[in-house]
Amino acid sequence: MKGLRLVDVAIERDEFTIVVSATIEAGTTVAVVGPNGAGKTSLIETIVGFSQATAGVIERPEGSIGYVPQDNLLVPHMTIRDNVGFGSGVAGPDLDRIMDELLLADLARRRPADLSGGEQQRAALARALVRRPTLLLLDEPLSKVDVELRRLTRTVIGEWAPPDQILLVATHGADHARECDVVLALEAGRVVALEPATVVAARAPSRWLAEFFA
Amino acid sequence: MSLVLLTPACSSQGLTVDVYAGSSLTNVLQSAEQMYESRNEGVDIRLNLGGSNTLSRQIAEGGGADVFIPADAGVLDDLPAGRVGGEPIALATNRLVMIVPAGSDIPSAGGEPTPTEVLDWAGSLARCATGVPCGDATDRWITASSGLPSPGTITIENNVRAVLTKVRTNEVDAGLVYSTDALVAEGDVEVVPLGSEGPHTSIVGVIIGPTDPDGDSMGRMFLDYLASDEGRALFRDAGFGQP
Amino acid sequence: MTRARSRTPVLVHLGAGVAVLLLAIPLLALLVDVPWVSLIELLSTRDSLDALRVSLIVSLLAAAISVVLGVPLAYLLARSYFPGRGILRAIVTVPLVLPPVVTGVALLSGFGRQGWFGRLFGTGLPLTTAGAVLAATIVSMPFLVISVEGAFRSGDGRLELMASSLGVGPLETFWRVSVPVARPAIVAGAVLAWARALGEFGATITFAGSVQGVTRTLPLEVVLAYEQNTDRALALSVLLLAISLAVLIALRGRFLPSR
Repeated sequence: MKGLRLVDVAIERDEFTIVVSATIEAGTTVAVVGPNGAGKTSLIETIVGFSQATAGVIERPEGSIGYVPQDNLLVPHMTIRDNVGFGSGVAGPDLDRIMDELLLADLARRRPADLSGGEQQRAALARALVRRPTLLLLDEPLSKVDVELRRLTRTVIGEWAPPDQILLVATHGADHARECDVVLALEAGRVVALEPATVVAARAPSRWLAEFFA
Repeated sequence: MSLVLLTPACSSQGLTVDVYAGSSLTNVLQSAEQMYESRNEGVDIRLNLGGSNTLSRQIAEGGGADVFIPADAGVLDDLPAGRVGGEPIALATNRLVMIVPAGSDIPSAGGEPTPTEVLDWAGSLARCATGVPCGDATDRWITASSGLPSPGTITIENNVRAVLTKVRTNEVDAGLVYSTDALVAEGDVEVVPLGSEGPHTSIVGVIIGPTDPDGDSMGRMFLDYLASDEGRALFRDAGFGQP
Repeated sequence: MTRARSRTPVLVHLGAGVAVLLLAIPLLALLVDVPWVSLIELLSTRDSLDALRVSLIVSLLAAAISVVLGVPLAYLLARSYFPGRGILRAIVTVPLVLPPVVTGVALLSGFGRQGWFGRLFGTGLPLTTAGAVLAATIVSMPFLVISVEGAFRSGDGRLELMASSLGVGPLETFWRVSVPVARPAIVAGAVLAWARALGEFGATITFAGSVQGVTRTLPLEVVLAYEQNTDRALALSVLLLAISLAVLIALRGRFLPSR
């Protein structure tokens, strides 16, 4: 199994139930878009395994999963370097390199609380990337990263991706969505679009999507 | 007390006599309370049972006792002079004995083990603290009978009933209590008499003053009852000696 | 930055004032009554020193055992869902409200010479230091468990899920993530447990007895001394008060919430 398959996956939320069926081929980048509260984070956390689906089947690609949640989830009492290298399968030279590339080397011995929001996001991203995950899920990963570092950060994400990597990124940026192969649009728990950005923009299946790409 | 009399609407429109007494008198006074209350309707005997020294201290601090019956007359010496109302009335005597858990297998030269043989055999002993009546009696016995062996573990309790419980539950091998306490736990403990050196204590009751005249007379009546033939019989049944 | 504070109502000041008086009056009276001149002499008797030694050993061991066993228990109560969890929590915390004497009686049934333990091993824990430690541990562990369970509960478990997704095993996650995050609560709980163990009386006298140098802790020595020599009882009380205050003040702000 190299792709990601969601078969009638149902996720209970207070207001509605998210229902998703989707097949995403290896090597695809997916932008997950939708209004606030549409269920983007719930969907991502279910794919990662942080929450349980109430029904359906999730088939994940083989290999490791990388996840950068909105709250980063860095371990508070560990140094940045220990956080990035936490867990199994991280080679020393890789750790040094990712710290350099995401401009974290000078912050290596600090604790997460001493870092700015953008620096914390870069650290959480480094922790995900250094494992070269076959499935990478980013929940608004650059929201707090300084504008001048966003380009660099995206380049680093690309450099560290293994060839077959599936990338799911929840984003509020239309430009960012256009750069992805596919847009998965959620509205109140329903998938309203799962197709390339150009198609979605042209078809505009909902008012929200029309305004999003306008 | 007079206040209670003046409020007939109050449900407990009776007379209350507060009796402070040493814990070794628990059972006999509970019987006396029952008899006396059934005989005198409206009178409530209220028992405050505990270590005699603690009670003595409570009275010295102004505790509302009408009658005080310590486990040994010596305790009265510690009371402030102004608080003892009238001469103490002798009620009974008690004596110190050694007890062991029932069924203890004590090696003995004669038929019955002696205190020395028990102490030789026992790994642990419970006794009262120096300063409380049964503890002072224990000290008197140890001083009088020189050369007693000492068990390895000695636990010191603040009142005689705590010593009894430790032996009764078989948590220690031997203990020193009043003979009346041994009687309470008959079946659970066996008595080893201390012989002629075994110290005696004398139990007396006093009126605690100055209180209101009603309280004094009610307390006096209860004390008189305890000293009557019927009262004496209760003490005798509980294993106390005659004064 | 100094933040402006809203005004506190007069009635609140009044209530707080009365509370402070109620708490302070007996302590002040104790300090006035203590025979300061002969304090050292009273405290350096063999009995006093033995009691101090037993108290320190028993309370520190009880606090240590409370941490070693109580932290896993708190974690289980906070993070796992299983039938009977409510009942388990009640059993764990009941020594908080139970009269210590009752705890002592229950300990006799469980670990006395005539209890389950005695019937299995032929000897009991009463009259031994181990017995005193057991009694102190049982009454003090609930303080640690409650404090630490709250800390584990306030973390939502996502940090542990993240560790697991990074390939960190459950034991390492517990040890390197959950426990350090709960560290302030663990330290605060350990201090509370230690303080409770230091002051423990009822369960100890009922279960472990009062054997000099073995089970007779400072509180037991105070009660005993009170029958013989009030001055020594007061001196020992001041010693207990001083130890407790010293530790609470030393740790204040560093671990316990204060502002």
